Amino acid sequence: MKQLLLIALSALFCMGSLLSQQTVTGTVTDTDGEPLIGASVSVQGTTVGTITDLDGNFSIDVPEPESVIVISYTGYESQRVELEPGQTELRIELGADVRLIDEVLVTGYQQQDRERITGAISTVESARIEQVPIASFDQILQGRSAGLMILGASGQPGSTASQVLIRGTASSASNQPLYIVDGIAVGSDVFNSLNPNDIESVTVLKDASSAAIYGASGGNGVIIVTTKSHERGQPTQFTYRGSVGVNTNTTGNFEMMNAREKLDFEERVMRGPGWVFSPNNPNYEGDGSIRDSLANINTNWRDEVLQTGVFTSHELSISGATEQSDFFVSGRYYYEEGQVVGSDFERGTVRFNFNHRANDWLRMGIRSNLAVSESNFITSEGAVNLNNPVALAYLSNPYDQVFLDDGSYQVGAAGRNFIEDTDLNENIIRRTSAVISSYFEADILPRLTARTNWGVRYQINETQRYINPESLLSATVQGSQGSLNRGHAKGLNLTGTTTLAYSRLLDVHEFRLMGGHEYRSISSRSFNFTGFGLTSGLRTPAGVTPGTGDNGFIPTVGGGFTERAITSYFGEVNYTYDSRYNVSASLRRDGSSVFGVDSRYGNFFSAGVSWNVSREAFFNVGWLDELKLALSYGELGTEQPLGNYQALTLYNPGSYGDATALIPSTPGNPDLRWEAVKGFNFNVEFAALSNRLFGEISLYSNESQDILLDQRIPLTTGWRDSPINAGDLRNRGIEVELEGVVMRTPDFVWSVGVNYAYNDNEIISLGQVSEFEVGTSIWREGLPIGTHFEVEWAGVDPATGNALYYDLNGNITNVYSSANRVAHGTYIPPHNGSVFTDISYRNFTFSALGVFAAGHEIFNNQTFFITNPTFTQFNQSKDMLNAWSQPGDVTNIQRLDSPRNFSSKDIEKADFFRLRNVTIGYNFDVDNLGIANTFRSLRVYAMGQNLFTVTNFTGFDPEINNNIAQFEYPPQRTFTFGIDIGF
Amino acid sequence: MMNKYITLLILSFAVLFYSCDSELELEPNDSVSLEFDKLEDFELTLNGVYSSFTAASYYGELKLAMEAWAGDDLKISPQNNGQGAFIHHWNYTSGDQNTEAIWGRIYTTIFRANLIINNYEGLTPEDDMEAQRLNEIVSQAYGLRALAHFHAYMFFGERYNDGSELAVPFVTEIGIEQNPPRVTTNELFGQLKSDLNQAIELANPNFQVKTFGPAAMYTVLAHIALFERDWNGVVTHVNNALDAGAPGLADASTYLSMWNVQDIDGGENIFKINFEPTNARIGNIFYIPSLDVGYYWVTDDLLQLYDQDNDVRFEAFFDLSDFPRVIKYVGSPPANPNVADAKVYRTSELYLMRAEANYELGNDGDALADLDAVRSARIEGFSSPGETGGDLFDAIVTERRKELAFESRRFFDMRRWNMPIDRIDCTANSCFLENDNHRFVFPIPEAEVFANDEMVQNPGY
Repeated sequence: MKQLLLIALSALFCMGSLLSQQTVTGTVTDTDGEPLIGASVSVQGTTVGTITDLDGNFSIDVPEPESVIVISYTGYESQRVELEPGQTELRIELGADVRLIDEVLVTGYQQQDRERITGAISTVESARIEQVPIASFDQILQGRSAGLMILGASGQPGSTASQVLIRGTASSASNQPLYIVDGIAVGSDVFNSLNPNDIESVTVLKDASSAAIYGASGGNGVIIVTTKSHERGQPTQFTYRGSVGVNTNTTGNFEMMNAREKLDFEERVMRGPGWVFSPNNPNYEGDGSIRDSLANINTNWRDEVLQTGVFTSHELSISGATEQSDFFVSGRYYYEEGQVVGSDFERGTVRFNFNHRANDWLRMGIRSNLAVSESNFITSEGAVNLNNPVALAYLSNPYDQVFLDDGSYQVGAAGRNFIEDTDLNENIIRRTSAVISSYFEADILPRLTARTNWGVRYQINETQRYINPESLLSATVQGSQGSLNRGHAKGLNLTGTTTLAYSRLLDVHEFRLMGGHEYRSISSRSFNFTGFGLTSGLRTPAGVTPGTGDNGFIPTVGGGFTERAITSYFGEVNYTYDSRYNVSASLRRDGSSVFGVDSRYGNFFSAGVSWNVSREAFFNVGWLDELKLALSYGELGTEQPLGNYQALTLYNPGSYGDATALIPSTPGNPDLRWEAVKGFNFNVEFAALSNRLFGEISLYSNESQDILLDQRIPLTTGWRDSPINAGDLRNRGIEVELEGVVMRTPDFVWSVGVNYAYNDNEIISLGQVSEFEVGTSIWREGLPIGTHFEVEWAGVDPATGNALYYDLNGNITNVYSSANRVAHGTYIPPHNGSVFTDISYRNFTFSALGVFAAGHEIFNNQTFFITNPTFTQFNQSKDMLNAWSQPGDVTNIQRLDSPRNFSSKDIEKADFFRLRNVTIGYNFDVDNLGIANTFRSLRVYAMGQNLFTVTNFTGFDPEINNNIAQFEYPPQRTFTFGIDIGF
Repeated sequence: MMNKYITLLILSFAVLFYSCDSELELEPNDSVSLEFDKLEDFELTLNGVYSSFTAASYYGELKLAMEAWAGDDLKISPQNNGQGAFIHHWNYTSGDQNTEAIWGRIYTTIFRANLIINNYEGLTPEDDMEAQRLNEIVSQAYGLRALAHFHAYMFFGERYNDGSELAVPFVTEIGIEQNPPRVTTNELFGQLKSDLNQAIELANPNFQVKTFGPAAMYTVLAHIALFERDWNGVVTHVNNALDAGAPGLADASTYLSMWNVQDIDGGENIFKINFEPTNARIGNIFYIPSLDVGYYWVTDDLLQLYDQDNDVRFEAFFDLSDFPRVIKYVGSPPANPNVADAKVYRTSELYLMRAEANYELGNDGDALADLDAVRSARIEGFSSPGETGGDLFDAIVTERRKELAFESRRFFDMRRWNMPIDRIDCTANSCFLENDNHRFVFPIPEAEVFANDEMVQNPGY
């Protein structure tokens, strides 16, 4: 009986399966509709599977009606489709991977598969960089790589003032990473001569082991930039990109007094026109009419000084190929007007990239970029005086005007008028820059390739500062008849690299060896003069009056020449077993002209292992598609902080009477050498949920030793300081990069990502001292760099209005003493990162990037000046209206005659979130519109930069690269409209 | 196949071309490395020593200003914005910027002299002329090194009692590893005398007033003896200085042209430091014509000491229109106001030193003769009151005050004589400095105490 039941049941089962077994057919294509040949189509949980044919078609027998079909193809994101009841046809469109775990990266001197590398490397693709309306590329990287932090991006057009930190501050001084552009080592100032649209990819070498191949220069991390070549397999393409936009003002979170409030305030402190013309002033005999007329003048200084600037860009690029060569040519015109009246930036760039395959073993190519730019710039950026227009917009008194009633310029405080200065005088920088490199690559033997790459970066900066003899500023120059200052600075970076690479695949063993030599030199030559007596009206050297002993027009002359060179040998070994286990090691020997004669050469090495866990036979975690673990260690150095001749004992010319003298200028140090960085890195990289989620988590610990410090030596030796390598720093932290597809349907794709980094910076030792002060910050063992050092504020005494402070014992006192200073937070954010999202719906695309940083504090020096009666000559903040005036008042503004000192009152938390970029675009469907014969692609978009910032910081910008905020040029809020046309 | 080898060859050239070590030995273009292997190196370095004296932290301002601010010949004016205030009010601490500046500058000067002294033996002169010139250079180096140390002693050495007090470090070597200790006053003076004698031996007897010559060297020896209370030594060295070519006392009109209008080299100058318009302007300490501002005014009690009608010094030093200002260093206006040479030693000081020494030795007559010589040269129609005993000493004190005002003497003299500073015409917060107050000696800079393991701070700081 039981047996019968079993047979019946199994028959039912079989019949059920027989009944429900069905054939599903379909086609697999990519997002452009091209068939994917050989894509794998399988039924999840079974061994049933097939591949697509030459037309992308497939036919598969599914056992269950609600089976899940899995379609996958290398280089594309896999898809899982759950069959609807009765569904027998599928149209599958696979999208290229949002993040590939087997992409190929450009790392130090060679290319590697991501799954082979043993360190922490980030990449940023061109789509993230293109068309962002910032002139300087380094700022565009912000938020695109966890652990890469950009501080202090000045909003001034054409400025390269930002500081780029990778994994915290590893050095005492220069923390800029090493930049390599097409094989040439360049300084960060090259980026305002490059067209960001020419960049194909950017690779960031974050950990010690991957940067160790750069030896003594890699200690702050390495950023490798590769420019575009023609896309393989595509026909000749023309692309036009045009965009226009506006730059609007961002402001600080504070409000200034109006004219009447300011005059009343002046009366209260008994200083300035509010008091001088006050009827309550015993020394003044008039009535209040002058004062009233002043009170009615309310000059909106922000309107006078700030403007809405326009921005425009036009670019045409052409790329094409023949059997043996391919080329990429682009030309771009870029113009940007700044927020401040009188500041702008105009640039033209031309690029020519060319590759040629001479035969099957010899290849060569050239990458060249030429840029010419001119900008009118604002001097006195970040200074608290009325020459700085950003400060002027707030500090000028509301009863002052640009023009007096008779049309002449009003002479403001310090004898200046900024609008007059902008109208009459000139500050121009012209830059001409060429970045050219060429390579030869030969396969000398079947698996042995030799390559040599030589490149230069040559730049000429011309500055011109013209002071009109009729301007107010003319009274301050020699001879008081105007001046003309011109400077020429020429810089040349030369890099020559020659490598030999060998690779061999034996069964499951894969070897790669690489060895090479590199020479780099950096030199700069400058000359400047200032001539006086510009009485003829000419603004050229022809207008300079020759100087005599009496007329006070003797010109001044300056200039110099300085250079440094590095020569290096390096080698790297990579071994992979069975595509699962990877071992790599590198060694580099650097000799530099800046090291002392007793420390001329240094050796640097790294070693790392990585394990592609997901390739193991035992690996069977359903939701994890790929998993890789890596551990590495590297020793490298930072030679950038050393001066070109700092190790030498030098004398400078001087004079005594009319005789020449030689004066000792630097003591030198024959042991002077690089700062050493030693670091561990542990990486977990994974792809999960059918390649919908990608992530990389890094844990690292870096120690910087031999930090360059100025050691105080006894004054009795005749010197004061001598540079030595003595300090010790540590950076430890975690970085997380996650990116995933939230939803994917044929019409709608939504992906979200987050980058987060936490860095713990600590000073371990400072050589002969345990701490030293630098302005209002302190370097102290146990604290991070950038720690503020001020007396702690304890509020205002309601009974007396005195300012109160804490002394070192924690008691409250009304006596201010700099002996009571204590450490507060640091201006370098320990937490930073970004969130970003991309949505595409049919032909629309939407992307957004928000950046954030937290855990830092900035000394708001702006507030110190505008809530401070000592500076009553400037306008003051409305907060001053709440100053203590009688016993019992509870307020945070002290009695007006209680001295206003530096204290922690002005140190503010600067945590912020900034919506950095929002882009909405529409791709026209050229096929459907029937214009496919003319246009290959057509896209329009709108983009907003710096749309809003959420922060409690009351200064202009919580992202500055200084511990003191003082009226820096704020980042601009930009709106852009653009069109990209492909022919 | 050949092509491949040619390629390889080209590539290896590319490597070798830039492999040499010499590529890394880059010399600066805007600075010089000195080897001290030719006479010119020593010449230029000696000029560097003199140039150091012109710094604002030395004779350019502080050497003269600090003494003047701390004394009773100046009073702080309403136009003052804080210049010299800490020193004028006797509020200086070891963190004071001015004391650090002058200490650092004096020892920089000593360092530059030591470059010459430590390297000259390695040079073989080519001929007799070079040998002689080298001797002259070395002589000045020794002499100026001693002079600079003496200045350091004046500011920072403990008050003289019997010579066992701490003076200042005596530095003879070059090198940043040193921690030079303070030596006793006796030891220091011994070294200075030895240096100066060495300098005198090698000196050129025909000297210019702007170089440190034998007459100036003997003058310094006399000055040291004055501090040491070696009265016989004072007399001997004053006589030596006069024999070595120190000029005679200047008459009234020559005297006038020494100070303003022409700032002549001659007159009774024994040694001056040359100042050009591009150097610091000494006169700015007292009065700045372009701003019409004087941060310090001359005190009434000093003014009243002069016979305002007949004393040429009154006309040379002061201008009482507007406000009572010091114009001693106004130089040669109007082209370069306040550009004036620093007069390190003058003949009148020789006479006054010898007068004081003779007084202490009991030779009132000789002392009076020297005193009267100076007074007759300065005051028209002078007839001597013939002081003796205590009155004679008072007269010497007064004459030193009148003659050497604002030449960096009075404050140190009051310390030598154990007298208090009593500001009669006082606009400061503090008007009286007791004769045993520790502030008569300036504090060793904090930076030195911190960096130098051997350094000992002065009492009271």
